Amino acid sequence: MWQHVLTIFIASALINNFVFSRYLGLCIFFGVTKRMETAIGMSFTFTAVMLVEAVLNWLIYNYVMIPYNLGFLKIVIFIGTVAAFVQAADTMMKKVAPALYYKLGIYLALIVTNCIILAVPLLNADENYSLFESMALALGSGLGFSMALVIMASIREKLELADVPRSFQGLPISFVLTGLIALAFLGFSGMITL
Amino acid sequence: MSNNVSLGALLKNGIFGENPVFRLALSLCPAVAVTSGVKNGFLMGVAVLFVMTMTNVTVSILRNFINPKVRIPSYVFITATWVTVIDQVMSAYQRAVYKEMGLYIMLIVAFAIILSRAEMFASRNTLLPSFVDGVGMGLGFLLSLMLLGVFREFLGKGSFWGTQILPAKPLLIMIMPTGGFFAMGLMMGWLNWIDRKFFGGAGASSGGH
Amino acid sequence: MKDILKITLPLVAIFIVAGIIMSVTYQHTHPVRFQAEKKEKEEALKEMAPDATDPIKPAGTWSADNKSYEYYQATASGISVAYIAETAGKGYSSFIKMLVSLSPDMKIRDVKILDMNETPGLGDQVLEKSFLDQFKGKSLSQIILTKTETKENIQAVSGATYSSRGVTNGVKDAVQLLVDKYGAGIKTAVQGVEK
Repeated sequence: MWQHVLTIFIASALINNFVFSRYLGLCIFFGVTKRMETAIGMSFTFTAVMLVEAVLNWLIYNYVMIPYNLGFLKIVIFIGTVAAFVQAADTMMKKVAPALYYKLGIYLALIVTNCIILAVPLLNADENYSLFESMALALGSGLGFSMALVIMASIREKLELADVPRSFQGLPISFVLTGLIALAFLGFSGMITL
Repeated sequence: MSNNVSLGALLKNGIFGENPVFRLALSLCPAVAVTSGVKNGFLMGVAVLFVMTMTNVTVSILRNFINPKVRIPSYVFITATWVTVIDQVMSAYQRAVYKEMGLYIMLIVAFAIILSRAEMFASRNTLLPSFVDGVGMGLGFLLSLMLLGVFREFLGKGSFWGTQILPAKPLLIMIMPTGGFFAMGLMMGWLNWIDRKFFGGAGASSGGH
Repeated sequence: MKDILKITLPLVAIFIVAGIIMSVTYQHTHPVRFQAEKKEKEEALKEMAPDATDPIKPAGTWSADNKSYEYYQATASGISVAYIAETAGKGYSSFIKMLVSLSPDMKIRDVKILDMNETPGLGDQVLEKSFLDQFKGKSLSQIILTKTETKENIQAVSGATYSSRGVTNGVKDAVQLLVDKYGAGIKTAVQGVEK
């Protein structure tokens, strides 16, 4: 069982990387990778929220929605818990850890309507994962996303100095770059089989 | 925008002027994820068109009813409702496609474009303009997805809507995950170039959420 | 207090209306989805054994990788014409779900992939007829994946080795099961898939 959990963790971080092979979280990915510092702040916030959300929604899904046959409400309920949790975290962080809030608070606001936060509980529900498997998926995806952000941020810092054709400046060239990184990520195929 | 803007201009704005994918660079995830074939792009576009229009209409009807303090959660909830509806319908009537892209259909709820139109347009305008704005934006999204779909399916599989046109697969990479990013980048760059060269525009914005 | 009511009441009203809309949609689409799923399954089974005249009924369940699958016996006027099993194998990025049917002499009749999520352009090449048709007529001992050209065994699709392995492993598990259940007297020579 633990082996399976580990497999899910590694597969979700590398093989099914949210950005490079599931194409999720692209708005954030292109939005915050202009600077390394923001990318790192975002990585921490996202991974933490994903983990909490995975556990929270797993409990709700398995103990409330399945017994009462409410599976079809999962979109509404999952986005509800995300919004509620982010609001609560925002308020609590402001009171308990103002320093941390000052650093990460702005990212919290961006999370509410973000596809990758929502994708984790939806995937868990689809695959009928156990609690530990859900947590592994959340952690792995968070780590994979963080890795994508850091890689992209470090490339884009160099890109500022590059001579890019005018029509391709900004987003277009970033997309082409992401394609190249995604191609590299295909190479993880030999590492593990899900 | 006020009522002196004609409805036709609103429609055009959604498709060309403020095209959600290529101009506003919003909701990029599905634009890359489901466009490996024209059919998938089309159905995704239809789903978005539906949610977009219905959310705009609902928000517009309820705009004096919703307290501004809780407007964002209300908009998200309204969007989620319509997404659930289209998700249920698609999973019942389009099963083959749903198996491939069900996750992305559910994630329409997190599209920045829908929330931003509800907030920026529908909450300040009457029913008819909101409806037209929703249709325009939805169509803009649909057409962008189909454009990418045609491009990728033709190069990647040599086919159109599942029908083989070329005897071979000219550029297999185009339907692989990486190809989505390449196609998107190239398409954006070309559209910028065409816009600057022939229409004297400034090109698309260079990013955002 | 009055303010709170003013904010909450409209919200509650929206929730109730939205809830009704969603429930009504669910009630209308659920039977359709259920029927479609059932029909899909029946059609897939029928395709595996077109010569079966009696309805194909589940004969039991078996499990692999902690998941439970069904197997079936297809008959024509009471005589077995095929044994069918649901199975799955781990591909590159997903579980590949399949149906495998065996003729009474324990040779593979057909392999059909029901559900998979392999890399488009690479892994999904295992869906192609040229790969799946290789399984036809093979017996358990022949289900070995190789990377070179072969008539005796199964040749992996180049660029889709992992997906090919997933399919081959799944098929082998299913054949092993059916041979154990029905193939009395037929030798069960099993060798691992080439790593």
